[in-house]
Amino acid sequence: MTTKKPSLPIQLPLWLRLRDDAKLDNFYAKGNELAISSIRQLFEEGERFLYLWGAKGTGCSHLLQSACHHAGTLGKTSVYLPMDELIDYPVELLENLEQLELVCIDDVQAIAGNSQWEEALFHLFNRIRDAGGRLLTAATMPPRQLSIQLADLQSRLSWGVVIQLHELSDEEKLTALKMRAHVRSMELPDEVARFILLRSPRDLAAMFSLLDKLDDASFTAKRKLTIPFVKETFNW
Amino acid sequence: MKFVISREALLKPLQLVAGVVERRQTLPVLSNVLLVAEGDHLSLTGTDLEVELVGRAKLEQPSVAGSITVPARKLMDICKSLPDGSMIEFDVQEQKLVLRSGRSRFTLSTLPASEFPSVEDSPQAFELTLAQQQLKRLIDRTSFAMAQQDVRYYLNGMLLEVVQGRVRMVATDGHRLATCACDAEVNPAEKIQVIIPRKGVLELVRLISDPEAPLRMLIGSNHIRAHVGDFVFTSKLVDGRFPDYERVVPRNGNKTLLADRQELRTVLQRAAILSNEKYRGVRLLLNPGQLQVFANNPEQEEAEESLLVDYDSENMEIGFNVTYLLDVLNVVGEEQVKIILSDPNSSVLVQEAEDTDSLYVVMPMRL
Amino acid sequence: MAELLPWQQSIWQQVIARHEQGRLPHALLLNGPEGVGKRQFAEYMSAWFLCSAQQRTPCGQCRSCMLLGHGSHPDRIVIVPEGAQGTIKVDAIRQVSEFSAETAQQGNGKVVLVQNADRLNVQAANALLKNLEEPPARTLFVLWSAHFTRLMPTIRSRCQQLAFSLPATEDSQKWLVQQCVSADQFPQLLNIARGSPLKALEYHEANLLQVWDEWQQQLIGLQAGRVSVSELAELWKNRQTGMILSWLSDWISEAVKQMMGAAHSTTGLFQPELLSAAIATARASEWLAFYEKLNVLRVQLDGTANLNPSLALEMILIEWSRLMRTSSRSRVDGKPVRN
Repeated sequence: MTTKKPSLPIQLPLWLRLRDDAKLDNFYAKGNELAISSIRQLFEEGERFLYLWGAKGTGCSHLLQSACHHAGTLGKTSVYLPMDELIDYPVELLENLEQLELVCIDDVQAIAGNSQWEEALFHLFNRIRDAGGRLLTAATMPPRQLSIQLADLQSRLSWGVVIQLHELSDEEKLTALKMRAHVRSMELPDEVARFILLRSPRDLAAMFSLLDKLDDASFTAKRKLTIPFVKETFNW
Repeated sequence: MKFVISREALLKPLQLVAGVVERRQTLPVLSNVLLVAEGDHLSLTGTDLEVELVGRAKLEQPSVAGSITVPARKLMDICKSLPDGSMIEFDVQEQKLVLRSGRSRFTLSTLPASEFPSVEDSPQAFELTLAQQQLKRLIDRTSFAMAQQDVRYYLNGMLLEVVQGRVRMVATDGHRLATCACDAEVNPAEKIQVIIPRKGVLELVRLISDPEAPLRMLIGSNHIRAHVGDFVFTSKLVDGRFPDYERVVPRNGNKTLLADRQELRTVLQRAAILSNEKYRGVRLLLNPGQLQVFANNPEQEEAEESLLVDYDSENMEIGFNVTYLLDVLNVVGEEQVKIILSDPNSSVLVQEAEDTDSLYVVMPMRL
Repeated sequence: MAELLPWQQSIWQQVIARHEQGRLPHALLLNGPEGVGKRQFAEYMSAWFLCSAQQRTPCGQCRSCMLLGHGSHPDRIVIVPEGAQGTIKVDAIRQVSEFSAETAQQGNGKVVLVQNADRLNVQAANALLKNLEEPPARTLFVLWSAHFTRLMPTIRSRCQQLAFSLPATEDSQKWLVQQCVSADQFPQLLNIARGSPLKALEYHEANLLQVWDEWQQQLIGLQAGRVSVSELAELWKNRQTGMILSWLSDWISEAVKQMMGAAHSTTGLFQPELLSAAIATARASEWLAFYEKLNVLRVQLDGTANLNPSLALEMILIEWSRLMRTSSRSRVDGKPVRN
């Protein structure tokens, strides 16, 4: 059903968003064991189509980028495509991606209602299925709730396993925060962690970026992480 | 405030300082230049809030100290139009600036210096000194790759990174990336990374006039300040994290092409004439020992070029925006250029054959 | 130089206390009726935030305070509704994003003020939301609105809200006296201004006590047939339409209350003859329906809807005349009824 129009040249983007520190190992697993093990099994006997969803900051982007790193360590080719950033590109960007062993598409909600992108994504699904590749998608809501107009795409999105990421409780966020600090060799006392939790935006991604800033600041100022220091750094 | 200055002493700093003042300003004081007279020196400051430039000029005789702001363009136009060798007397009387020179007299409106948003020195700045030509090289070799008006604001500028013994600059517009580093006597406690906005980079490089002379830079948390000759240049920074350039530099290239830089450049320039004006796509066909370049446009006109190169991997076809390749070939210096590739959908690395200080990453174009 | 209004001292103390406990968020939404001084508070807060002295009040002496005083502080941006529709559009918020993207020029942080935040259109609100969700370092957002329920819930949830209410009458009177309003005028001014001292002062300065008498005389004229609906609509259109309609709305509210048996709450405020004539119609439910219709129209005239003001005013005046006529007694001699 594809009618091949003379395709326009398309400049491929550099994959700038992939973060070095997005690894499966440093993702707080509690409550999200299924998502993590499903990603690990993508290249084994596991399900080849995976759809993750969760509110902003629950870790979809982290997991998708981790999956690319994971693929890299296995010597597999992969690509990470954040739709919110790429929506202004021509949809031909998705061509030939089935040649890669793993395609990760983040922020699917960004293209819902955009008929060109919906159609391009639909065809990519089919080509990946035919080529035997793997597709990991993520959005802020389950497939049925996306305002996607192309019914066939909506059903494709639910093809494989659909997993909701678990939003952490405050105690779990605290643990995640400390775990993250530990990975960065930062000494984060309990009361400081609680203080950050109390004051920062509620999502983990935002909290982690605060942690990054703190790490830089404490290193520069050569000071320990204390509540006064945190206050001073963020002007809270 | 009262002083006398020669037209020539004033004109050069005034022109440069007035250059950063934008014509259309929402705040009246930003169309003005700040004049501060002290002892036998006059300092002149212009700003557009993003960048600030302070120039210095020597006075003919000790001044009556003071500070005031006056319209930059008008002052400059007056100075320019006075005859060579004129002496100009500046005298502030009742919130007006009176200029006298020979038989001319001008009265300019003023605004108080306290309204002028100049930038103070930041106390905890990191200091480093480079030769002017070192900084110029870093900027000249990379600035072309900065984005313009990208919504990812951190791309509309350039990363300046300081690590022990080394200073690096990185620019990327999301399609290609350029980075260049140089050795320097620096020893920061930890890696310093700041993003200088596009305008800051371009204005800074304009000030460089004496390649051998030192250039002192102060990197603070809000600004970067450079002392270049008689000028002090300050730029705000972009608040954000720059993409990790090391992550972007491809490591998996398994095909290497060596070519004569000038030959490759002229071949690409010729082929570019018949490429699509909008997309600027050219097709590169790599065969052992030979590179062929093809271009065509919507008018069905075609260009075909070939070039002897050092290449012994399998045949490969890959497309590029020819401008991206030419931009790199225009700034690198050595005779031979090295291109490392893996497949038609992955980024390629371009560098000089011997020198690895400069690295360029270019994403292909699907044609 | 930004100053607090006297009745804002305690709310300022709360802000300072929160700041000292490290609980001051990066975004605040000041909500409360018009004319209580939300803008003054926001200006004061930005002066304090940008002040180099870092005390409990802005010092008024440092470079930052000087620049603010001259209106040339580079690290403060004020977004106000614009254009005929009086909305905040996405282009204005793009300025905010650009402003947020770069470091502070003076180095003491940055402040973004958004006046009448309920006037953000959907695109602009979404763009602002991005800024609020990923706040740049050392940047304070202060939004204010008299109709904060019209704001997108996502924006409201990203801001800590500070509620502003009308000051006590004594506080308002004391302040009005300081502003040289004569003592015999301010009770009526405050009444008309629904208790807002800032509006009372504004009315005083614009000599609105006179307008206040006129609009009721004009209605009496309409009632007596001395002036037509279209003539009056034309007259009102060129005056402070929104203000007169809000007065009319108060007037109906008062009439309905008295129809239902409430005591006179604003004695001496409204023309007794006209008010009595309305009360005599004894059609509380119809007046109430009119009251609601009027308030919807006021919001529409006030807001972004494309409403022809002349037509809207004529509609209102026709309905008003119809309701007034439903009192049979008042029609016999064409004069308002006296109780």
